[in-house]
Amino acid sequence: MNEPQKTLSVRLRIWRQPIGNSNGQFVEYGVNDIPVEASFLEMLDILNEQLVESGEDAVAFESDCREGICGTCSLVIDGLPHGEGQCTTCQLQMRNFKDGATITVEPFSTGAFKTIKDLVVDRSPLDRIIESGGYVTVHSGPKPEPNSIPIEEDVVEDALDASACIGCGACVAACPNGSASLFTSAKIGHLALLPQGQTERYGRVRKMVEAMDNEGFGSCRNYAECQASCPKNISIKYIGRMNKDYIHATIHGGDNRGPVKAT
Amino acid sequence: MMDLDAKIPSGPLEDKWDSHLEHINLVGPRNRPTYDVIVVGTGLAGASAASSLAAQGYRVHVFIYHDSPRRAHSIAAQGGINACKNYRQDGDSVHRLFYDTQKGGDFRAREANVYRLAQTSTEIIDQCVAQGVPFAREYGGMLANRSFGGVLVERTFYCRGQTGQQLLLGAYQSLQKEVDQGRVILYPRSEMLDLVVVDGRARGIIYRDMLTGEIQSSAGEAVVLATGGYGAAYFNSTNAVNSNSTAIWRAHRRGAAFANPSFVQIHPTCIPVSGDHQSKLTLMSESLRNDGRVWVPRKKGETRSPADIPEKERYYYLEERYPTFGNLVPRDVASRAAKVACDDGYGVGSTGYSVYMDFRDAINRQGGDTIKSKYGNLFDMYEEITGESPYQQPFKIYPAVHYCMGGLWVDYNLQTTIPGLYAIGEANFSDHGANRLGASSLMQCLADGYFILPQTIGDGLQPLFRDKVGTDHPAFAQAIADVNGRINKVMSIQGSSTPLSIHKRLGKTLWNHCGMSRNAGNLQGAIDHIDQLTQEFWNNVHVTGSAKDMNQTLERAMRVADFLEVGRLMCRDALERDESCGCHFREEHQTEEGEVQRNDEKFAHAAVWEWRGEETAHRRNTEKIHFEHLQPATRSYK
Amino acid sequence: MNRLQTFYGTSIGKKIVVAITGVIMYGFVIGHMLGNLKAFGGATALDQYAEMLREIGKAFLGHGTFLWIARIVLIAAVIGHVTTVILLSRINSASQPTRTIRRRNASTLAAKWMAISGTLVLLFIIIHIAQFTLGWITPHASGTTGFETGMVYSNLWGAFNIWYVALFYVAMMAMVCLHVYHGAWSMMQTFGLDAPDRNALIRGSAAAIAISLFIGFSAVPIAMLTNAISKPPAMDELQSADASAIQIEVIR
Repeated sequence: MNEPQKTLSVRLRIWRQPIGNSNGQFVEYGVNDIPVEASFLEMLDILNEQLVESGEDAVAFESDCREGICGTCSLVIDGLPHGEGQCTTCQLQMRNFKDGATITVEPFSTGAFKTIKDLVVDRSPLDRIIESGGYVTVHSGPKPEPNSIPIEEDVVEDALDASACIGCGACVAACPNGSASLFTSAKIGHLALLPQGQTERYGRVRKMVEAMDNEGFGSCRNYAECQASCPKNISIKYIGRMNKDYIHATIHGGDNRGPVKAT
Repeated sequence: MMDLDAKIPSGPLEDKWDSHLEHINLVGPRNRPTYDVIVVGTGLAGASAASSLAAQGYRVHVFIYHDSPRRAHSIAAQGGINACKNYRQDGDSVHRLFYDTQKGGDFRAREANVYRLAQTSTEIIDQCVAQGVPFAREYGGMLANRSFGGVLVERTFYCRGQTGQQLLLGAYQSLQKEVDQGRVILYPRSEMLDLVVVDGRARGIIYRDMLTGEIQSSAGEAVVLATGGYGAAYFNSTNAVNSNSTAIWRAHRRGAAFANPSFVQIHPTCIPVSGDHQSKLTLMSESLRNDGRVWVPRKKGETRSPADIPEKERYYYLEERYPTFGNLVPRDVASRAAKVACDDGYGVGSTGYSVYMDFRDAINRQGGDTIKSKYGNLFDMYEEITGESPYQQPFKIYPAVHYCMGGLWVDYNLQTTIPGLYAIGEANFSDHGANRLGASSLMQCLADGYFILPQTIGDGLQPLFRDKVGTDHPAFAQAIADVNGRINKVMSIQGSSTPLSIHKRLGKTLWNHCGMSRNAGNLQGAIDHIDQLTQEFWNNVHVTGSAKDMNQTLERAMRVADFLEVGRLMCRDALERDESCGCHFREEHQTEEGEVQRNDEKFAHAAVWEWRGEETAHRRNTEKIHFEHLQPATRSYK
Repeated sequence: MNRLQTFYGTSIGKKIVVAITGVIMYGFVIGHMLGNLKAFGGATALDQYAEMLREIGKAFLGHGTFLWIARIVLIAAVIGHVTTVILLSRINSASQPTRTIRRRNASTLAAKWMAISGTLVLLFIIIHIAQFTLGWITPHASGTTGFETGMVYSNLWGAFNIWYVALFYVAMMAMVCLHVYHGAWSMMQTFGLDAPDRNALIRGSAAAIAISLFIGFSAVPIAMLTNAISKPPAMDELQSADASAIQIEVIR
């Protein structure tokens, strides 16, 4: 039953950039005898083992869950964030690459995502966008019975489509403008759909849009590259909804906490 | 002997928690901002605890080795979260959830803790819905449920196959809210490498800035470890590649007792190992067993494709052996049954170590679209990894290391044996006994983080109002020197074994000898082998790069060093627990049908291991389990 | 005022300014195209139409005032559109990906060409106004009447009978077409009026309008170049009137 394992070889052009240095360069490496069952990141593991064995500093790249949900992995492969197809880098399989192929690997670097080292970028701007208002203000403690507020099934599904975002930042890396509109609008869209998110809805959109701009992301120009690169298939419809809520927030005042304002 | 007073309140089981809260010390709202609380880890337990404590007014310092709190591995939990809401009127209740969890854990957990967990479960759902977690709803707008292994009711709440993600995002968002309010200070890319203990109290931590390599310290009146389990010691597991045991192990070496280290759950439905390169095993949610039927061919060494094997020649071993629970037996039972089938030569796949999980009948009965709407993302995930479509042919699955029931020993307040050090979530040992039921880990993490720790921590903090220790205390300098010494030692060896290769060999040893089936001879052999590996590590490991740089090779090396010690203790614990219970299957102790045989007379206790220094062996203490409300019975799922 | 400043300070606020000014110009362009089609009704129809534009709102505002208001609004729209786009693209050039290889998955040609088509259209507008409104650059085919304010039909005829002028106009109309196709679709998104269930309709309409604009605008230069529509009436008298016109000039 144990057939000889099929293998392949590739040449890698990998972006290497020392820490604290704003310039980097491509370095070429060859990796041989990669089992076809290996994933792309496992191929990089093999490369790093070779580098460590030969006394070189391993290529720094990020990954964690390796099942496409934590959003840590972040490589641009041959010019596309997360490579060909709508998946995360960790879900890329070597069997989809040709034997002998040359593969260029770069970080998710954009104006807002600075490269830290090699293939690692700083995506903390995304956290700060959430920090500015991407939540419902509730403290821990007893809460009302959830079934007392029915929510239509399709509304929940729509909210879940948006909150499926894993915060990997592929949308930013894919956007020719380096815009975080898809990321920001997915969180705004998720909370704006649910009854629990209504109270802070318009204040939230105002704060999050301002935070997004302050972090140095570009503007949306409706290329829809973000949607095409999103491993979780998040639709650009949420960007439209964010814009609409933002217009509402501007007309009706920024921090609109409900229809009747306290005086 | 250690003083293992669990501080279980007296009184009837149902009233213990409430009466406990009535009698413990509290810190007033005006004083809370004067306390610094350190939380390590931002999974469900860590993020929920940190946000809850910050909202109460404490100054919370949160440490994570990820770039963002949202990356924690709780995010990968798929199936759901249990709560005894009894929405289905199928006989669920707090007592039923308590009973199921105790029985599922093979009567090796503390009754008062488990009962409190069941009581709190309903509040978790309320809390999460209020945060905007989009739990699945029915057409009428009410919350939907599904069932999970080991229970006869439908009490699992879910968000497609990404429940952990949605719950974690809820907790993460609450945490970010507190960051915005200035009550939480985040330290991303900071890995805890030691605990600082001053006069027997936890007073702070030492951490490595993973970008600069700087060793730094942080002081606080309480340290909360929410750093998850140590299952990644097995190398191949469903844990994330960065999951590690360093925080709890370093705390253990500073005096926190470690309970039941050998209790490691092997999850039955994972994508099988395909080769040596593999870095990670992907779990397929247990919810699949609601509709998938598990089988192997009746003929050994079967070569036909599964579709060509007629019904009569298929051995649905779970349905035949356990008619009541069928495919929904608890995880330990399902895993062992798969191992037995494969060991006996009935396994399928290129390695012979896989079994089929078949949706043919479910698709015929319910239609492909229904199945797709229920499990679509899991089917796609499987196809992406293996290149085979489960709509066309059965899943090939095999068990893999998944969860650690063992962990730091904690009392009813979730405080470890070091005052001021708390452990929550998977990092502690408290609620799951010798086996955890599906959809219970999320429940436990959030119960600990949202409801239990925030209410019990004040008990220990209140007496410290004017008793603060800063990082200028000599103990901090000493601990920093210790950590620097260890790092320098690892960096200076410059041998020929990579940390990864040692980790892989450790993993293989643990999997073969301290996995689904254990015996005294193998365990002793494993201990000897681990000792050799430890020798090899400290004499021959090779770490490249610089310690004062982002260095993932060094990070791994430091983690592997601790895994070696954890692995050894796991084997010792497994060796000394001379009975079978839950996940811990000692071949010497089985019934005629090959089921687990407990020995309640000798082993109705938690094994609580005490570190006594590098030169002296670990000491095994015990905390007796009192069966006041449930008499242990033979666990039958037939 | 503060609220407006904050609004304009954000990227979405700027996009909305671009969209609103875009709508104004979009409306104008559609009207302009429909007006142009009057050319197929002959010189009188077109010239009367041009005169009619000056007459709008005469009762309130007096002759030509409305046209000036419209011109001011349009000029303001162009300035608002262009400056805001320049502000946005300065932000975007700082935020864009810094890697060496950039492949694209989804962008349409129209989306990729927005900056190019926009710049060309702006240049075109300036040339177009200089040619037909101000009469500063007035190429005209030999044997046609020179430029004369108000004589719309014959002015067009004179210009479009030069093949490269006609070609220039047709090419520029292709740019307008590309620009408004992506512009209209983007505008719907900026206002948040897009939704997956109607996006096909929105995109289809944007494309249909863009193509109609191209055909409608190109029809006149092509028709005039190929003599598919009638010559301006003045042309018939031109040969005879030519000499007398000069005489009048001299007498004066």
